[in-house]
Formats: sequence, C-alpha cells, structure tokens
Amino acid sequence: MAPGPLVLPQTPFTRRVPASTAGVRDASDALTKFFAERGLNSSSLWRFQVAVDEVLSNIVQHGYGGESDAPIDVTFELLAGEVVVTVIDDAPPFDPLSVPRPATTDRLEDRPPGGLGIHLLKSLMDRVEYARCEGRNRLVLAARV
Amino acid sequence: MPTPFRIDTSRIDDISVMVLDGQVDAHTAPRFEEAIQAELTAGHQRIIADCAKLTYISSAGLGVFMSFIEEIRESGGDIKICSVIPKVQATFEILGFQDIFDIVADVPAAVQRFRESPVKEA
Repeated sequence: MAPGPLVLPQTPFTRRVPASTAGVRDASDALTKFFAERGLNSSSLWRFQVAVDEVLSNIVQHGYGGESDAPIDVTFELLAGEVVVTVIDDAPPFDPLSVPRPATTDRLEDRPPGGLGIHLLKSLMDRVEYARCEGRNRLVLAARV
Repeated sequence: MPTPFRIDTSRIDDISVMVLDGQVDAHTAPRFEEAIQAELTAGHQRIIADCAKLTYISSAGLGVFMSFIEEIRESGGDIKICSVIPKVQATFEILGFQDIFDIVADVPAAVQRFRESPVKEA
C-alpha cells in the first residue's frame, strides 16, 4: 500500500511572557504572527487580540498585583477550525468566570474590578474555560475562525 | 516597543474635539484619561471623541469613557463619539455604548448633535 501524504502535526505556538505591559504586547505580537503563519483569516484577529489583552492585563493588575517578571505562558493552537488560546499563570487562584456581568448603568465604583473586560471576553469568544491545575491558573479561550 | 497612541485636541466654538489616533489599551488608557481630565479642568465640558484613527480599544479605554460620563453630564456637558471603524464599533456595542452615548457619523454630525441635543436623551 502506498504511503499516504505526510501530515505534520500542528505544533503548538507557545510564548512565555513577563507579567507586564511589555509582556502583554509580546503576547499580542505572537498572536498576530500565529495568525500570519497559519494563514488564518485576519478579520478574526481583532477578537482574539482584545480577548488576550483583557486576560493578560487582568493577570498583571489583579493576579500579580502589578507589573513584575512573573511568568505567563500563552499557547496558540488551531484545532478543528477553532483557534484555542491557553493562558497559564502562577498568581493566586482566580476564576474570572465568577465575576458577575457589570450593568452598564452601574456607577463606576459599583462595578466589579475587571468586570468590563471579562464581559467583553465572554462576548468575543465561543468558549472560555477556567481550571486550577497543579497550583496554576489555566484559562482556555476558543472561537471558530 | 510602546503602544502607538496619540491624542490631538482642537476646538470648534465651545466644543473640544479629541482625535484618538492608534490603540487605547491598559498601557495608553491613562493618557486618554489625563487628556479628558485636562479638558474638564479647563472648564470644557463638551467633548467629541473622533475615533476615525482609533484602531483598537480594550476595556481599559472603554472604562475611561464610562468613568467620566456621569460627571460630565452632571455639569451639563456630554461626550459625543464619532467616525468609529467597524471592529471598534463592535466592541462598543458589546458593552451597550450605543445606549449610553451619542455615536454619530463624523465630526460635523457630532457638532450638530451638540446643538440639537446637548446631553443624550434617554
């Protein structure tokens, strides 16, 4: 039997960035590069850029309590027509999905921290899943492209 | 590399026109906040946010709009938003900005809206 076409596995595209503004930007740049290398529809890119920005900015500000060199691991994958972004950090346990949706009519001081960003995130992605694994926060964001 | 962002503010009669150019994220949102605060401190309560060159906004930037709007309206002013590109418009709509703010086609339309409706009608 003739051998079938060689199919190379899609290797995950992983970056470790520091918990800082520069790190958030590095992750966003890596996402742009991932879309370009995989030939993905760039019209979907902005949704992932906003989502990744919201998640990482939240980790920097609320998880680690400000800018630091603490690591955030970000992995981008294309799986069955979905772009899947996995974000792992070592900050204290925090499930962003537990933050209630802010009412836009609430006064600013009544809104939960990060609430706007998390609402955006859930609206932009098809799937957002949180788990605490081996002492680390693990957030998965996925949407079809 | 710093996030590309600049704000240029000009005046049309008693209205401040702020041109947002680039990206408003967690890094640049404080500059946007300072620019609005400077207008309020100078007694300018009528602001147009011209978003024609705004290519990206995250919740940090959206939060700046929302943090000032009550204070501005209590003093008789408003923020009118105009010239929004589609992906930024989509972000605005997720947060219901169209119910909170007057969002119009361009700067002349925003000026006209100030003349007709100084504060967005509910």
